[in-house]
Amino acid sequence: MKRPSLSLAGLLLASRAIAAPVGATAVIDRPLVKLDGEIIWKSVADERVKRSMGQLDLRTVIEELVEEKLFLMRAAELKLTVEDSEIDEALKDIKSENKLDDKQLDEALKQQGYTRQTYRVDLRDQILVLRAANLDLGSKVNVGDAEIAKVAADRKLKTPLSDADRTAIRRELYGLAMHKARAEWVAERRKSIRIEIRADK
Amino acid sequence: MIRLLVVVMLGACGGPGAPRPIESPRPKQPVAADATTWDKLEGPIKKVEIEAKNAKLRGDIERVFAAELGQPLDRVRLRGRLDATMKLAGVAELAVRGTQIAGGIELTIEVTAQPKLHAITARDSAGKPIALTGSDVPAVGTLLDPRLVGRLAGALRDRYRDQGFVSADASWGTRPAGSDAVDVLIEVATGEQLLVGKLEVKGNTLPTGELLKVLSAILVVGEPVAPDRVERASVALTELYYDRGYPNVQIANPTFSGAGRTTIGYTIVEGDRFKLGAITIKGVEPKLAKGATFSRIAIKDAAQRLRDAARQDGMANAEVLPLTKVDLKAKTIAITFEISHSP
Repeated sequence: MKRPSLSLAGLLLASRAIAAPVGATAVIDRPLVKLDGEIIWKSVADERVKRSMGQLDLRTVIEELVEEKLFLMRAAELKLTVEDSEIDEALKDIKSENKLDDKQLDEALKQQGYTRQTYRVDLRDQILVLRAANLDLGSKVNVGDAEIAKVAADRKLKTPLSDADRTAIRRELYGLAMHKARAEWVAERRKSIRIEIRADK
Repeated sequence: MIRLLVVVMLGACGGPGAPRPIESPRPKQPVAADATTWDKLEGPIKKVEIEAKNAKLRGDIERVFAAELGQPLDRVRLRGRLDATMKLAGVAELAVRGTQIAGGIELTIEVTAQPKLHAITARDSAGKPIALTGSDVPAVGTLLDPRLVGRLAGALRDRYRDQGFVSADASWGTRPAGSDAVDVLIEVATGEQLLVGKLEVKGNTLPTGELLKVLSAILVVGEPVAPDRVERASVALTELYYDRGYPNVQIANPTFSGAGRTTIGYTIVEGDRFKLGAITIKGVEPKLAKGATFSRIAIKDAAQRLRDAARQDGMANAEVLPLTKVDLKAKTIAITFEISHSP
């Protein structure tokens, strides 16, 4: 494939060179989705589409954001909170799992359009979503020994299962069951919340 | 799982809910002439214009955005101000436009105010009016608050569900009622009412009669199937199993068979039955015996006795933590009671 002749840096410079003329007007932000008075801003969706680097389209992102917002609204109902120290701890885990130091983390975040501060806000929301989901759905999502044994048999794994295999299958099945439970919860919740999507403008 | 850098989320939403009579206020369309995109705007924010009819609201919003003057355009920071503005009473909607002016950017905040609530009514799917009483009902004459109306619709739905209309849903919408006012209508789609007809359990080795006794104390035949009672019955079954040696018991979501008087079925996966393994005590005697059937409540009682004994013995702040170690092959659970106290 022929390589483009203009470098990325060149493209960026070129785009910056075309500044708006005096008098030009742009919409900077507006509501994209309204859920009983709660707002998902267009800028949030734009940022997520951009971060996905072509993996997600606007429609998919809207669905994700609506799901998250519904859980955040639930978290608010349940008066769930996240301490700063918990966000510090989550950041520490992220650095450790990705083998990043502070400078590398900041660089990675910058590439994704985050600052450390905005990423902390995002992390707080993610933790709240997880907490609300676990609180409402955790006790309803079970993985039984029989299900684990069935998966082990399907995969022709050696029995009795090692602890590692058992744990891995349990985690996998739990993830699937939680995914299904979340989908059902969201579908149910959507019925009782007035949702207006304004993707047309 | 925390999302980091690569975004992986579980997309699980269906389409929007059922059509509703929505006539919500919307801001004006942005000016199309000389349109550009926000990232082409250059320079610091030199001016902030608030477009709102209400003078007090305009003043309040001006204060929120005052700190933007002199700053470069930052959509994340602006979003924080928009969120703060949305929390102000009477704000229905906001949009921000930017205009390139000499040496910077002029921000225009378009504010759509909430209309006044002219009337609020509710009806069920048969068209029968539902009486709205209590402090949760928004007052006529006040500005529409969608959160309050949403909460009221949810409460009405739950009221029906508690009466056995387990698939009841509520939606709401507005219709114009003169200038700057709306009527709100809440509609409850009730679905069929279910009454407790028969209770069934399957998958159990514990005596069925004992399990049905637990269930029927909560789910009474002839009474409406209330979701919280169904849930409580599941919890009660689980607790019974916990105290009969089955710490891994799983109770599946109950099934409902038949309309009207329904049969509620509980499927139980008991898991292995455990006995107590080695009992390690650091402090005083807990009165638990190795080989006894595992019982969560017995362990809790033992921990309580140990704590009381330790406190009587001079350890005023003593706390007891039962630490368990499961042996799946031997089907035993070893317990170490760890007594801690601060002098």
